[in-house]
Amino acid sequence: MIVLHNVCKEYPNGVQALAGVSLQIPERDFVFLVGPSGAGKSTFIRLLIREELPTSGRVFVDGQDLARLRRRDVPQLRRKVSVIFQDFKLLPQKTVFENVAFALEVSGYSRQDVQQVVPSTLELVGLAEQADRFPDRLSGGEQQRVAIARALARRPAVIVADEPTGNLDPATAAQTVQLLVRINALGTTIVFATHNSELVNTLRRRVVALEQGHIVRDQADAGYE
Amino acid sequence: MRQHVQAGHGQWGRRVGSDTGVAAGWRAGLQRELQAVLRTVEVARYAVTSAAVNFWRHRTMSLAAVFSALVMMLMLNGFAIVVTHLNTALTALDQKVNMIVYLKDEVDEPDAGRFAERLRADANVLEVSYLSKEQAMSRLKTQLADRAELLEMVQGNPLPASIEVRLRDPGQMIRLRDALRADPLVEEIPLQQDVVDNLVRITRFSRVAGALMVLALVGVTLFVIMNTIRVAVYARRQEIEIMKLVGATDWFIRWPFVLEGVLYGLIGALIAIALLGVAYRPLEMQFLSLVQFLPVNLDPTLPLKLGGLTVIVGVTVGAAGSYLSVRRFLDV
Repeated sequence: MIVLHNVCKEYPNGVQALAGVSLQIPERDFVFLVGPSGAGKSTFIRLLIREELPTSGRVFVDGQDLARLRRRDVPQLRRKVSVIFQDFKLLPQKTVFENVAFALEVSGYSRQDVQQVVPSTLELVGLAEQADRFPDRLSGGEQQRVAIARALARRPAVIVADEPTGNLDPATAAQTVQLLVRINALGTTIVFATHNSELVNTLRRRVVALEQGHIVRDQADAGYE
Repeated sequence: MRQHVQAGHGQWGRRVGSDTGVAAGWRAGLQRELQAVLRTVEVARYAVTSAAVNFWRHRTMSLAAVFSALVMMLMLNGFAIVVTHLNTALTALDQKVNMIVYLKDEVDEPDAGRFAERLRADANVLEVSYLSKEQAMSRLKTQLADRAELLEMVQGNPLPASIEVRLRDPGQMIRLRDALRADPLVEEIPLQQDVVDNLVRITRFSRVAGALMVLALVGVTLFVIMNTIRVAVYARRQEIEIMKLVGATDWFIRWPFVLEGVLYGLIGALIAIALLGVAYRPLEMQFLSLVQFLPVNLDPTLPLKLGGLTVIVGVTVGAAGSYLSVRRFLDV
């Protein structure tokens, strides 16, 4: 359960990214976060994993006020809320397998568990064959799926996807979305930031629209506009 | 631990009379402990392997760090060796300076012996030797053997008995002289004040200068290693950022780097020790032949001590350097 209460975020350079955003995302929800570039989507995501703190207002994840989270408890939060980054953030010097395994090792998984979980997760995203390749030998869609596998492997409560289809062709984008829908069906909350109207319109899920830091629309079973 | 005990009691309270319940509680507790241990082992394994892998993958950088550690260790050791040897030589030189206590004529030998004993009891006194009136005379006779006519002019034995005192720390000589001068047995204690003062000043200066040099070198070593590791860390800042974002703890990220720094320092130290092991004996012989005129007592355990010191300094500086370098990159 994610709760934002009257959240404002102003960056040191004076940019007001979020202005009084209040929102609730229950468990197992699938939410599209839409809006033009600069509407505050990325800031919203950064607040969820405490990469940033709100200037005012509160962010709760599972009832925990993130502003009050101690520095050493931040890793725990980031294991609970996994982000698929727009630029994937894969490590170029590690193979596909290692990139996924690394996120598990970081969370304290034993070697045995890593050996079990990584192949099954790669299987799920359809990358079992590419396990030993390095990211720069993969297509954009495949890299995207490595990022998804990495986020998924730890079975987080929430997966936040930041423009996951931004660099993909329509067919691959549709596949990626289908994958996230399947993951959602298995019980993971999905927050999907995008400005791909076609995807949103096909899926008819909850849509939260941001514009200049304000929520201008929050509607269930909705389209892009 | 305390919490554990309390938890145990709670279970006991809830399941009074149920042996299996208690046993299950114990087993669960044990399993938790075991898992914690296994996780620590897992993190340690990860840290060691990734330190080794990173060391190898970035081997040019690693080599640079090891090399600078090595150079610094060699300089440090060189200075340490020079300073200790200089100190040994100066101490020997210092202790050559003596004080002669002339005794009054009426003092008999047993009294003089007791007086010498009293001096020997002082912890700062290195050596005491008594020279009786007769011994002084015979020494004068041998010294003047080829000028016998001078001796003929001497009536009886005008030479006083004396006690020669050598001190561990000649800086204390004046204090001791002042204390002894009041003694009824003592006739006179002549001191070459300026010679003593100068020697003491030189010794003190060389010690302070040596210590400062060594301190400065440790600082430079830390700085160089820190910067080398900072470059290595900087090259991997992306990796660190991603680790933080996928939920790694600070220490999980830090350990491999700290171990890598330790590795730089340790390898540098070991190579330095190997090189010095080859060069030490010949250098020492050189030194001993230079100071032949002095009763030099070299510490035979010095190479061992230097080796230990080198390893400790290398490991500490390597660990501290990487700890400080990573710190800046952990704020994500």
